[in-house]
Amino acid sequence: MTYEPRTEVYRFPLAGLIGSVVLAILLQAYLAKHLVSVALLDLPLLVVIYFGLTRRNPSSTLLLGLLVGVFQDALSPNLIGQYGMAKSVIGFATASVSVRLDVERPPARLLLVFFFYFLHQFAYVGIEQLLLGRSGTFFGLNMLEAALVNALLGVLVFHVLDRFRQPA
Amino acid sequence: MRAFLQRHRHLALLLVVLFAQLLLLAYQIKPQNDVRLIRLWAATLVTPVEKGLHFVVDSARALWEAYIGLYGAERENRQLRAELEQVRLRLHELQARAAEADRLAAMLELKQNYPKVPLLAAEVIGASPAPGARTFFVDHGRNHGVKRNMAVLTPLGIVGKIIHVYPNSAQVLLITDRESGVGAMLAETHVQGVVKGTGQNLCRLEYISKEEAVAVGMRVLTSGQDLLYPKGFPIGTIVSIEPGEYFHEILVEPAAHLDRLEHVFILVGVVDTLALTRAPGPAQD
Repeated sequence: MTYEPRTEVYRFPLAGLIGSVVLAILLQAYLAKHLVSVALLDLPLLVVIYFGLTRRNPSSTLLLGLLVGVFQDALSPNLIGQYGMAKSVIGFATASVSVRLDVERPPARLLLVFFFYFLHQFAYVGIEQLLLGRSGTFFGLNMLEAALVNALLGVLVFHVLDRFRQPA
Repeated sequence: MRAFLQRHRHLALLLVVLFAQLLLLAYQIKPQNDVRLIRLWAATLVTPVEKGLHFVVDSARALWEAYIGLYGAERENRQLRAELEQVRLRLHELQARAAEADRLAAMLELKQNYPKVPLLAAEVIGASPAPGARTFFVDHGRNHGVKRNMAVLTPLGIVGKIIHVYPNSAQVLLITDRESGVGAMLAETHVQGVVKGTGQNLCRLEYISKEEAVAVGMRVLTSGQDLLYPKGFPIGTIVSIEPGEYFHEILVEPAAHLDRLEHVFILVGVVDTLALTRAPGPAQD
């Protein structure tokens, strides 16, 4: 099995990018109605991480994270900006890391999604606690379980999304 | 300075984006009654697709089930198949009638309890895409007379309240959400407290003094003090009691099946008159 060079930059058709984001949000909303366990998943986060790792451009990816997060906030009881800020940070961080690491191999992707899930939760809970004065838990067993589930699903989703990308 | 910004332009953009959202958060913390435009846009965009998805999946499921039923029937003996089809037909008819009767009975019970309050049956069409958020969307909105803070319930118990209203849909905050609070009382003793969401499947009953006698299995009802929910409606049952410093630490399992809601009722009326219009009956404590 061969992998792409580590510094390769990819691009996506605009329709593919928008479609992935909208599909992730709709799927998350639809499945959440029918499956309680879907609360563990964060499909929009996986999309932001993926585009951060493949586009390798911190500015465009943090803006993508901003849009995805604000869209999630708008469809939830959150204040606008809670997920927006957390996912902006993730978009920036993933693209910054991808320049320095080989992010094509599944084990690397597994570890990165696992790590970025925690970073996302840390940012989100931090915003709740520091800015909004609400209670929240920075770490718990259910969070560990969710990070693992998202990491495993992320490897699969990334493999599917790889088929639609083109070298820039 | 220019060279510095050019070199760190990505980081600068991140800081600008975070700062803008920080201002936005600060602005939103003020109390507000109107729906924010961005929420309206997002809901308007998503609701029709959610409805379509709901319709397509339900139709596909119905078609698939019909196909499976037909395939199984063809493999059976012709005589038995005819008989079975008749029985199935009868069974489905009776089940449909029973379901309809249940729905009407529930509606009637609510109507009798609140004769002056019009009830609106609504269908659950989707949930929030934010993980952990305890909200869902229903297929009725402003055009059907739905307003903010209207109580949402099932015949088994209260579900939550309307938090955002859009032209043809509305968003409901479940009583298990951490932002939710309900005025409550114990059915047996009428001691009052507040039921708050935990973000999980259970709620927490707060401000019940350690001096008060409580027990697992006690029923918790709405007190009507919050002017949101009608008085005397079931919230849930106590499932756990731990000693606290001043108050009991009590967990309550909601009476309504919040994890598998398909249809709900919206109390379309002025909230602060509900307690006054409740008719006396055996369900009232």
